[in-house]
Amino acid sequence: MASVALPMVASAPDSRQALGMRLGILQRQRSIIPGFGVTMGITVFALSVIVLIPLSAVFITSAGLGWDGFAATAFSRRALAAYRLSFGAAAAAAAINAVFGLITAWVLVRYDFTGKRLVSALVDLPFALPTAVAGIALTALYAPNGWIGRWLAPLGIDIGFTPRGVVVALIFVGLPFVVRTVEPVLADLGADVEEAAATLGASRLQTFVHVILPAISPALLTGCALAFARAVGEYGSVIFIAGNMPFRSEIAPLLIVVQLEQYNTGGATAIAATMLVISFVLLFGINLLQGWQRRLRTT
Amino acid sequence: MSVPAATAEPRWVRWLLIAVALGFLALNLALPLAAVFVEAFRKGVAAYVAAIRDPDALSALRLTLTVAAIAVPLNIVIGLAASWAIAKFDFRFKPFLVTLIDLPFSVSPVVSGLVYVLVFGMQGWFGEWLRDNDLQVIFAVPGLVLATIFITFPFVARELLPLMEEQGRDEEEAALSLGASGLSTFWHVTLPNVRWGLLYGVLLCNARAMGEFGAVSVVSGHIRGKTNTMPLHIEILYNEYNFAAAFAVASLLAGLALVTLVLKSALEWRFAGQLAGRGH
Amino acid sequence: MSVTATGVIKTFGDYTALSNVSLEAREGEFLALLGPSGSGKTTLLRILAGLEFPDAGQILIGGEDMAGRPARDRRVGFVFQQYALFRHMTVADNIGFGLTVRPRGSRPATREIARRVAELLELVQLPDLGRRYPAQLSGGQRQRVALARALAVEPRILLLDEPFGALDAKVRKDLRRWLREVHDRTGLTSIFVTHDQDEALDLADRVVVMDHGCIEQIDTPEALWDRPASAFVCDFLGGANRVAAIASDGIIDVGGIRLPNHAPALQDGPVTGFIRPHEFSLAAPGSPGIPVTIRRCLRTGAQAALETETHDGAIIEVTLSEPPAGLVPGLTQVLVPTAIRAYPV
Repeated sequence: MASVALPMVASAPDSRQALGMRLGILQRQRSIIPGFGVTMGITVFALSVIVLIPLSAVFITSAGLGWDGFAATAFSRRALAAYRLSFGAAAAAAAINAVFGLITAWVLVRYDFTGKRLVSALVDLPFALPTAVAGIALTALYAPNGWIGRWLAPLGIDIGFTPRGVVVALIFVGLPFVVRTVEPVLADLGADVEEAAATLGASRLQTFVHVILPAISPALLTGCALAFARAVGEYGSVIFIAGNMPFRSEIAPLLIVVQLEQYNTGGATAIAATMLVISFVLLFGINLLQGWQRRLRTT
Repeated sequence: MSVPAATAEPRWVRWLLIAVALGFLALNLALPLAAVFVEAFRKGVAAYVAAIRDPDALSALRLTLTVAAIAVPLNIVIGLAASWAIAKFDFRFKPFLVTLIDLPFSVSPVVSGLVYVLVFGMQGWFGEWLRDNDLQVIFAVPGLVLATIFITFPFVARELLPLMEEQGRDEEEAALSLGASGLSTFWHVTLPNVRWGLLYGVLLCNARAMGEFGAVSVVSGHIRGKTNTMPLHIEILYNEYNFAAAFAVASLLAGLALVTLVLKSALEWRFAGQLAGRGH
Repeated sequence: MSVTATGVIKTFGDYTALSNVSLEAREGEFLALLGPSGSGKTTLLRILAGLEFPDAGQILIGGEDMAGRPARDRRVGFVFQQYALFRHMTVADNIGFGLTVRPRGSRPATREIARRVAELLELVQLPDLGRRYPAQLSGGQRQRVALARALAVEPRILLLDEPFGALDAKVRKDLRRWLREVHDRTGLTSIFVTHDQDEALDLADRVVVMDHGCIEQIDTPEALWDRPASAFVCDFLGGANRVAAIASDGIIDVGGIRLPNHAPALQDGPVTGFIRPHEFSLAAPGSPGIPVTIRRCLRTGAQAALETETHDGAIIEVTLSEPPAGLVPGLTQVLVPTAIRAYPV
């Protein structure tokens, strides 16, 4: 969801907190509100059992493979091709979403037109529509005999069952991230800055390029990064439309499934570990981006 | 909003941008949605009804509802507990804990399924022990539930946390100082303040839980009539070239998505001030 | 360059922001638009800048009709209330912005822009801050940068919206003098909006007092102070006590004291009089005037500020420059007004 990395506002530190900190690692401040032990216990227990311990299995199992065993699958030619497709298509989709997502956010924030609420609600469709449903729907559109595909095929343009199909699916998945991240920033942008540019003689285009775009670019970048991160791991909406040809249109998550189906759990784990590491690096990058964005917005 | 004249774009630019945005959304969002329903009825209403009343489809529907019925309430409990602990108390490593709760968002669904295979699968950590005790997690309902909780882990907490932090702890402290018990403070003070945010989070959590594909695909084993949820059933039908049936089942999930969007938009319009920061 | 507005009308939906407003700022003049919020002063300023367009009426700048001319072609320097600095640009880039965005043909060379920026930084007394970002400046410094940025495009006139509104009292006073100096040095026709009467009277050559979308009075600070054109102006300039009085033949009677009117002529009958705190003297009880009881007495140096109460409970503030001894709360005295401005009730 777009909320992936919204900044969590930690409560302002006070002197009692400082006291609490001295009391130990997870020691709360003395508070009359009850329930810290229970709620923290549930949280840590659930987090450990459901998320952390299973995730650690990926790295522990990978470590057991030895470097050669790990590299044999994780860096095989087929896996490298899959990473290239997953990351390349995700980047292409993010770039396309950057342009059209920005236009969409702009139109939703700045202009009035009938049906605007409906359109705004529709933007969230990819958050609500199951990925498998999106996958077969897109395939119905872009397969060579599909709604759109049949008009493109005679022109020599194939989308379904090619890497282009992967991009189309990832555009679908990532669009709301860009729109929903840019929208509030665009809405918060003071009209006076744009008016100032106008009184200084800037044209509307110059105002957009020199004043508006720099102000919203951190949000735009964040939205793209979120869309990209989601797209890299995406599975359901892609596998129907991709054609899944090894070396050509096989995404990395699918390769994990293929390894599993061949009972090569180790190979699946090696690829998963590689993807996790990349995802965590991405997550870290997104956090940095958002820190930057927060700093820019607090003048 | 009426744009001041000095900062308005020329009319043709406005129209062009609106046209581009609407065209893009129509092509990428509206058209796929329409395709689901059109393809679902391609072979007529009778075929549609037959596809949905197929025993495998009905059992997939039942399983999807079961999984959601277990995973969503568990998620509510975890989400409420996590946001209570994080928002109402101060402790070290708070940002770190928040990052960990967000972690599942950045894990590929396939990997989310794989981790349980590694832990509970035949060759997994507990594989032997489970087999000896005649228990099954992978290729069974518990695996589906676990994978679904993993995927939806951050949804409720994500929605409640900013909301609870914004509201601070004054009201709770007031209630407690007036003699209310902790539980009744939560029930009468905290919960009413966050109920719309909670509903919002639950809505999204539920949509994702019922629609999850990649993670459950890995742990399900695709046993027809037993471990197939609706999204998995759609895949099987589709791979069998039974397109109309696949789209018929898909149309049910698309309907769920539309209901989710309508409720979500309604919540955003009516209770904008009582939801966290912004929409998703 | 002179600025003329004639018959300007502006409505927002049902709300009339300006109803038939006309004014003229002469070449090199420093004009204040003074009024409470909602008086239309900011709307008028924005119309002059081309940020809003009037429903009717004419704007001339330097004799040129501005109808249909957008803000960017008016060469009007505008300083925004919250400064509207571009926060992602350095101070120098902010100031140079107006020159940088000029069409290629008329754009100065990069080095020339840098020279202009340095010059303007010097003028606004921030010579070393060109590489800072707006977030790193104090409020007063941002204000100066905003002014320098507006001046960089060599505007024909300078418009300032509440130029000191966002500053604290101390900085405000300093900047006031400084702004007047800058104005005198550049000789630009300048118009600024304010709701602070001290600021307007202190700074402007002439003050335009506005209320509810209409101009109540245009005059020099002295004339405004001495002869407020309406009860609103007199009240808004502040400090005056409101008393009931009777007018007959142009003479105003307050509690038996008869005074000439310092305001426009008015019809005989009951009127509202305004008497400023220093326009009283004290007399013994029983004399003609306004009998009051002293509620509070505050002596500061040679002066005394009295808070007094009339029989019907109205409070009258009095300032005495040579107060007699023994002014204590509870004492009954008579206030003798020495001047009055009366307006229709």
